[in-house]
Amino acid sequence: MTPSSEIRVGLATCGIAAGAERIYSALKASLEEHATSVPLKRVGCIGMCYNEPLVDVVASDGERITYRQVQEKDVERIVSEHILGGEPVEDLLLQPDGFFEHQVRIVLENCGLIDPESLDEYRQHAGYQALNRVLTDMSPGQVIEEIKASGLRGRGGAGFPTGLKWGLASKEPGPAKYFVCNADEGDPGAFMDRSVLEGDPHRVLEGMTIAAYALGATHGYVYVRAEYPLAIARLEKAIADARKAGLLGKNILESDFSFDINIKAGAGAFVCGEETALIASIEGRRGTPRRRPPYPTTSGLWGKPTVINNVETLANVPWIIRHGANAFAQYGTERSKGTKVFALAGKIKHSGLIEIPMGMPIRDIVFGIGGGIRADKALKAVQMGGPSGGCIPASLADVPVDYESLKETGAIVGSGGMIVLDENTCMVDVAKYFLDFTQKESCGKCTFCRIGTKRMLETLTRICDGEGTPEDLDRLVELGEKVKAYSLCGLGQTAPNPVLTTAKYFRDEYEAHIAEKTCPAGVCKALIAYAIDPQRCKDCKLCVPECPVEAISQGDGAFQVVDRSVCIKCGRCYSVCPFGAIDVVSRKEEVR
Amino acid sequence: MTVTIDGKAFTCQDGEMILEVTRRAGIEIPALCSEKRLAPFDSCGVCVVEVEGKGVVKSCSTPVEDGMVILPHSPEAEDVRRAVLELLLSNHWGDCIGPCQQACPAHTDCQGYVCLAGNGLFREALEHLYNYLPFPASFGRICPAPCEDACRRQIVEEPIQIRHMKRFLGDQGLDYVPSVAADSGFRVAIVGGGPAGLSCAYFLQRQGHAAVVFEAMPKMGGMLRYGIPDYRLPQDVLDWELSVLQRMGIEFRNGVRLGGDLSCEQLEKQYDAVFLGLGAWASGGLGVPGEDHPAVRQGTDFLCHVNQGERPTLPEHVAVIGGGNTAMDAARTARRLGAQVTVLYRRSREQMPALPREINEAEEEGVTFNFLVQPVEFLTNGEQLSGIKCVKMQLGGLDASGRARPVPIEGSEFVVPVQATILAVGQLPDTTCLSGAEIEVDRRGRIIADEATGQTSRTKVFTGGDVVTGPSIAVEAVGAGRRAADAIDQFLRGVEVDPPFVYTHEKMDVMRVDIGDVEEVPRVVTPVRVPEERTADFDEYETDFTPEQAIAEGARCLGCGCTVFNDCALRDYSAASRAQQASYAGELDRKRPDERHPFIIRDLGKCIACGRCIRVCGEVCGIHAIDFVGRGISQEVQAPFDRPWQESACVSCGACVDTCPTGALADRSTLEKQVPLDLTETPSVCTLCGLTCEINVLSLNGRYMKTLPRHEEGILCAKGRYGWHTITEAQRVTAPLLREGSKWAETSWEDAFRVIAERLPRGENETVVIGSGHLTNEEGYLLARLGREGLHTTLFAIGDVMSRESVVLPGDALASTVAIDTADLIIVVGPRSRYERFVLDLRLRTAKKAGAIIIGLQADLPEADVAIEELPAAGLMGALSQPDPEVDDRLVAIKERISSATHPLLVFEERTVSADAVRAIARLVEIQPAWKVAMVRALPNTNGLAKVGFQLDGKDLALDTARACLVVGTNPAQEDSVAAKLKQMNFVVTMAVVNNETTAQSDVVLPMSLPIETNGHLIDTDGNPKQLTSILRSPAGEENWEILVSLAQALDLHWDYADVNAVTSAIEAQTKRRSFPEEYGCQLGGERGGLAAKIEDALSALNV
Repeated sequence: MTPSSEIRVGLATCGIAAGAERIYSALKASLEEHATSVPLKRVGCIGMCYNEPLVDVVASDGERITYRQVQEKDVERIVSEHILGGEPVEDLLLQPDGFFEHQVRIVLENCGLIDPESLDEYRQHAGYQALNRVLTDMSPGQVIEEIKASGLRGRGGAGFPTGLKWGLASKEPGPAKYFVCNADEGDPGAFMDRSVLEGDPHRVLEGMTIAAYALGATHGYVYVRAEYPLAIARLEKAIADARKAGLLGKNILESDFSFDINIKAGAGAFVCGEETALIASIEGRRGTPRRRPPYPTTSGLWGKPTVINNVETLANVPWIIRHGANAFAQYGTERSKGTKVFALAGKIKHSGLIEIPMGMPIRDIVFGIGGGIRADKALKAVQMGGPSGGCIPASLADVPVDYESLKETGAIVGSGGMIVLDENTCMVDVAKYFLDFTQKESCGKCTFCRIGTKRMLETLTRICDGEGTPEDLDRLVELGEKVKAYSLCGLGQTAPNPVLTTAKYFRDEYEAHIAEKTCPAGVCKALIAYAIDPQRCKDCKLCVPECPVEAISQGDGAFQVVDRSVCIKCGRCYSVCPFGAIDVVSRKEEVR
Repeated sequence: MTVTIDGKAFTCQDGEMILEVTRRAGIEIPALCSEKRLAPFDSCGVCVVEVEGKGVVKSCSTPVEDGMVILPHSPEAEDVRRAVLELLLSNHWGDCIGPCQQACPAHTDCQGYVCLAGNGLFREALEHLYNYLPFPASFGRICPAPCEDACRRQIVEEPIQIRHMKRFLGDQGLDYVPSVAADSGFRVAIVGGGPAGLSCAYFLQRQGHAAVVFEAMPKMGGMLRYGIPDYRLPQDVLDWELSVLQRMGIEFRNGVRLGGDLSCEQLEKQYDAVFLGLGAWASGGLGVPGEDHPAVRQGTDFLCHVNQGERPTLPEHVAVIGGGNTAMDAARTARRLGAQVTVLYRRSREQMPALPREINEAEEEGVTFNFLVQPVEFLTNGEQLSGIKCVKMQLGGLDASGRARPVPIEGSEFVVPVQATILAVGQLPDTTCLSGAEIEVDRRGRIIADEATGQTSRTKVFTGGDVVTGPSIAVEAVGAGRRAADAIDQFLRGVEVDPPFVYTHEKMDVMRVDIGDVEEVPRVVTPVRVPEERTADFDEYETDFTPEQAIAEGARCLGCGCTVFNDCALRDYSAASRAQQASYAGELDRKRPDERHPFIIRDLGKCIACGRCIRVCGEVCGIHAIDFVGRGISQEVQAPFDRPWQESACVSCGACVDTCPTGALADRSTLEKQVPLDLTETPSVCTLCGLTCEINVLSLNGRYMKTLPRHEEGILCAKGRYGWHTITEAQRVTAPLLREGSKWAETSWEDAFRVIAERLPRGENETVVIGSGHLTNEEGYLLARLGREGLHTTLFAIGDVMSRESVVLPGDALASTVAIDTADLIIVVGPRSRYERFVLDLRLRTAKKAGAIIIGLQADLPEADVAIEELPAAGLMGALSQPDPEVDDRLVAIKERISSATHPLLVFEERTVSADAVRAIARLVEIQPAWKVAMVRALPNTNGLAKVGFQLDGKDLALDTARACLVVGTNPAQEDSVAAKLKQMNFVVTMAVVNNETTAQSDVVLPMSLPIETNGHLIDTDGNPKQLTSILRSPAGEENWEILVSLAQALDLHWDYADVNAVTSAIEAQTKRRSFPEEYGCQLGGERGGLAAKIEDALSALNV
């Protein structure tokens, strides 16, 4: 038996949402009660959302034993049997399920392992070594060369080579240059940056400081959305601790280099993730994009050369400096180096935060790391890149995840949203969902984005309501191409992607909605009806009280029937039926 | 570098955008969000062009590259442009023109004349109506008024009485003859004197082409005269309206028949073009036995005879067969001839093509109706008609006209006993007269012609009206006549016959909620004669509006059409791109106009989110009063918290209105009820302060409507732009006034002059003459001459502030305000006036952008690089002229900057700064010869008055010893000390625009014209001459120079000036033109008085 050296509770936002705070308190109380000296530690996100709350017990030899989906009633057993008794509680243990096996953790190296609020612990995990090396051994030019050599590309979505961007800004004259960390993570379903900020905030600060040194910036901002209060709190503490430790402010680590960071909380406009809108927002103006050029590297914040990198990009920087460009470049493909963090979500067994080497085929992610589709249904598509991205059909599941290959499909790597869709997903509905998001988030500046996305959404709504015409589909694609081509910023330029990719790969589904007035996936309410199969119905009547409109009544025998003139298609009967006796049928059948 | 645009090479500079180059080259690329003064905004997407190798790009934000090949109108670029415009249109909630005008086949601007009438402007309304319709009184009686069917007021309660308004205006007896353009030398033959032919002739004549109308019947009018009974349209009304056409020079030739007396070929040879308006005079028949019986007459024939004065005797029972308006006319006419009339119609009442009003009125008059019956045979009893055998019908499936088809019921035959029958079952064109003319005709005899132009298969021959369409309503023929006239005009001028495409946007599916808070007011209905009375004669049975009723009815108009219908880039570009409103039709925000600002109407439903108003307000004016609020499709231009703009930082300069490319922002005119109109635009200068900005005055028939900056990028202050809005006719002195005791009485000019001649003393220096910096050179000159020669006085003053102090600045230090544009350091000395400063600040902003350093001393100048506000400017100026200024950081900073300036300039406004400050300025320029001073005059023509001999201050005037005073255009009595002195005088004569403290002290008051009602010249603050043009009619009836000449004559001076130019020449002969006098006095201190003060008071709601 090995004594336990520490206990970690995953207390990022995801863990807290799953009830980890209660587990932490219970553990604390229990440990106190038992008067053990084993330290209890808050850590960030380890990535296994599907297993939250997670509790790690680390043995003195470093071995980590993980308990998954811990409930309050389990706490006493973990303390008494494992911490005190030395015997892991077998039935609560996380069983290896392939989730970590294929991952390579560079960005997430410390996430879930260290206490994010402890500068010391970060330093114990090689924290600020890279900064120290840069300030003592490297010229700004050498830093830029190193980053260039690593092949690191911007992880915010566009994939612009990071070293090149730094190089451009470093060549601009004048001492006043700004460095901005873009933490305005806005894609629905994306939480990569939040996890890093919550789990390893110093890493981002270190990356920023190295970047600032490389390009000669004197001041930095972290532009983080106000919806991330925990991330902001941890960043604030990290900045304060770093200043105190001489890692920020004047003469960092007693060098000649001075740099300080402020936090700017964004008010939640999606478009403020766009560089020029973000700059306008920091300057106190309305967050709308402007034309580029001039690029921010030439004229950015307050008209000065400004580099904007996203959180994940920066989180790679200390690792690259510590391990060297070649170590980084060994991962990934010819043009897409290193790893990429994804928020894996949707109809997948292992939803969570993953980091994979670039170039891994989609199939390996879904079925390897992700454990396959929930309820073992068929994979229909993977939505990549959030509202700016597209849907890659199952037939292209062997496409490697890298910038160029994904672009060819019409989707993008994006910031890292990856939503797995199964056979019960209506692709028109998915397109509508994302377009609804971008349409609302359009800043309203460009005609095509402001009105075009609205009209596209109305067309999709018509199609989903069974009122689409054959011309609608062509006009939708035609308008989508124009919105893409003639919008000013990335929001508008990518907003039609979910529509265009689904129209490309799932055209038959659109046509079914339009020509046959059916929703093949059984999702679009206007096009479906619920029917109880008399053969399968066991007359258990579970569905009867579930129906909010009393549409279900006794049939002509030992079965129930749905009165379709009353039914509001809420689907509650369908969910509750233990025998799968309720079918989603198309509205056409209803007519028949 | 060189680029190629549309195949032509242009040189351009690095960094220029494509749009800048095309603008410079005079090539128009549509653009909505770009504006010369603003940085590229890159939002609307309308300015797309194709660049070879790059595809379609936005020209406003794409820099030129050497060798670039630019195609502004390639199919690809046009496709994108159309899509952008169609998206904007899909989100545009507005009507270019009202639904009434849209519905009128003649495109008559109903909203225009209804609203003008609603403002009580009947003359203007009638003239406006004549732009569209040559027969207002006639059509005001007979038109079925499709406009009223379309009128949106019926969503509230009932449509506007548009037809009746026409009638009222036409009946005004205003002796109006529309103007005719200069003779083009072309002659056009019009065949047919009905509504189509006469309209064509009318519109041709107006365009300067001589129209000759040939008509077979003895009189003109066609169906208006021969088809419509007198009780609906009296002959004398029509005669009057035809006489207007004749007075315009249109030639009428009656009794000439095509095919008989003349041929189409002949006309083609003799005339430059031919219009055929032959109408549809042939009648249809039933094709049943007995139809040729003499007691079976054709309705048109019957009406034609009665309308020519015949009163045939009818048997007791008469049947009228048919359900159209001709049937109703025939039935009601037969009633008036004493018969019992039954109308037989084969369908039901609902399907009758006659107007419901006509049917109801026929019924009131005792006509009976027998529906769903079909005559099958006319029965005779010997020679006499004894009855009509009919079969009953029932309604079956729909026929080609979309109406239910009547089907006979077998065995339902019955007999209607009548002794006479009038058939009114349809008319047809008779085009047999065209045989051999090689003009294509369809099998129903209708001429085949281009729908939009009326051009026939013979290019020189045009047509329109019933001969093309078959029988239709008269206003349809007016429309056809006008379209043909426009096409003939193109044909005559040798350009392609192709009517311009006009884009017209419409609000779709308007509901009650979209109209907003409109009080329900029932439409004005005038009495009609009771049926018993009206069937006794052929006199008219309807009655006219009273003027009050017309105004009340006009006031009901909702004013759907856009006030900038004629100045909308969105509309123009949509037309050019042939964009369709419905291409991307979808949900839109049905915003209602915001009329909280007294002079600016915001109609945000028409906003296209180009942001030009916001950027001009901020970037150009430096005000930043407005911004976008909200996101995406629901963003909106607002002042903070959506408060009324005048409660924000807004200075009501109207620059936002001028830059708005649509009707989202529009200026209010002075009319109570806004009317979209083409206004007359006349250049002038603003005379409300010394800056004399160049303006255009917009007027309607000599009536002030609004003011705009003269130049595209000009900006005025609120006073200049909206000031004249506040002077109403009610406030004006409009006739000479004589005081009798304590009372005032209006008098004639003669009496007024007689009293003045009798009482105004003419001994040496017995009378003081007080003029004003508001007077023109000509007025000042005449006034000075009148004083010297007629009153023998040398006492002249510019009397706006009598008790002022004046300081003289050395002439060689003076610069014009133009120096602001070239100075590298500008010290603005304050305080400054409320409105004038705005325009000055714009120039300072521009100077600052060009690199000048701006320093403000007590100047409240937001653009200042260094400013000291809390200390008096005089002291600061004094400190600056000391070798060692007091130790104040800011003064030291100012000193430093001054020392490095090469073109330093001092700017101050006359009269707002203290005498001490000006003395300090005078001292500074004495010791610093490099310094120049630009002084802004308080009044528009102080320089001009000084030139003709008026003193700049009144200190030396012997007001105490003088016995009388002649005051022109100023209000010296606003100062109590002057008022007291005037009171002691024997006689005071005042010429004034409005009553004021001085007129209250006067014995005689003469009305005077405003500068915008005056011809003449000014010498502006920079010493440059500027011309004033009389744009508006003075309520006094005469211009000031004419009044002064008449007054001089009354004082026994015998002047002879043919016109104002003769006065101008006299001044020029006498004075050398020079920018500045040797010394330059300026008026200082005192309150602002006179008209400008009155206007400023009226504008106080603007919160500037």
